Amino acid sequence: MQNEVGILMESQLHDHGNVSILEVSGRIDSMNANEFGIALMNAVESVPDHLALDLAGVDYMSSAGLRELVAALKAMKRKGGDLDIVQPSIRVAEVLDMAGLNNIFLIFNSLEEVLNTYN
Amino acid sequence: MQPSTRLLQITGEPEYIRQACDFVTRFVADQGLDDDTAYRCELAVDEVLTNIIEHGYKFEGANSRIDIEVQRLNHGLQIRIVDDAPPFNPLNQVNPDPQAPLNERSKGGWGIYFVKKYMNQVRYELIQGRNNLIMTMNAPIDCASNH
Repeated sequence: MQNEVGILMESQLHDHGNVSILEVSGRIDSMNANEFGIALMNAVESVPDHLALDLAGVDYMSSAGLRELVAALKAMKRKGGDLDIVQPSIRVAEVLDMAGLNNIFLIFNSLEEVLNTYN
Repeated sequence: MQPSTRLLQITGEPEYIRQACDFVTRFVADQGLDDDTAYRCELAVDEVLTNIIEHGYKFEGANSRIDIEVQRLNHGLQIRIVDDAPPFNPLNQVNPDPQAPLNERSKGGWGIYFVKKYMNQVRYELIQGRNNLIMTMNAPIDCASNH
């Protein structure tokens, strides 16, 4: 069954010098957006300055996921840090663009690019 | 030969949204249409059902009924979603502003906006006290005419 909460999304936080990468994979919709938000907020709290969200493994994100992204960016800005997005899939990049989030997030095309920027 | 109309009935509970998404993507695939069409229909159904269940039923829709009817048209697809929550036309909501700066962004409003973007036509009708949202999409997608 696909109807159990949370089984379609995983996340892991990795430190890379001056930037930490939160790697998320799977599907993010209204069923697990809350879980996605908790993973984001935990990372926001534990990372001092630069947090980058690696979305390469996310093949689907509804507006429920975007809501959590905006809340996390606001929280990160409040503590003086930044939250960037790395390598979104074509479909996720499209919803980010439609909502204009490409204007308020820095979006990197590759992990290498984000690591070179902060290290 | 697959029938050109299919109906799924669910109760207004969040755990059935993914089932409805699977139902719609399977229908699109059975019609021989492309993955992008299936994806856009899936996102639209996901957003509409999420709105109905969160705002229409306020997460208390266990005794309600939502009908999801998909139909093959000559030029594409029609998806009709019918619910018995209090009458509400989601198309009357003001569109959120994609140019808004971070500090002016409120929490919601993007779901129906995405539906309007991905579907070629969306209309609302109140029929016998039930909300009907009827979405049509030209398929296969002419990428040049979208966005």
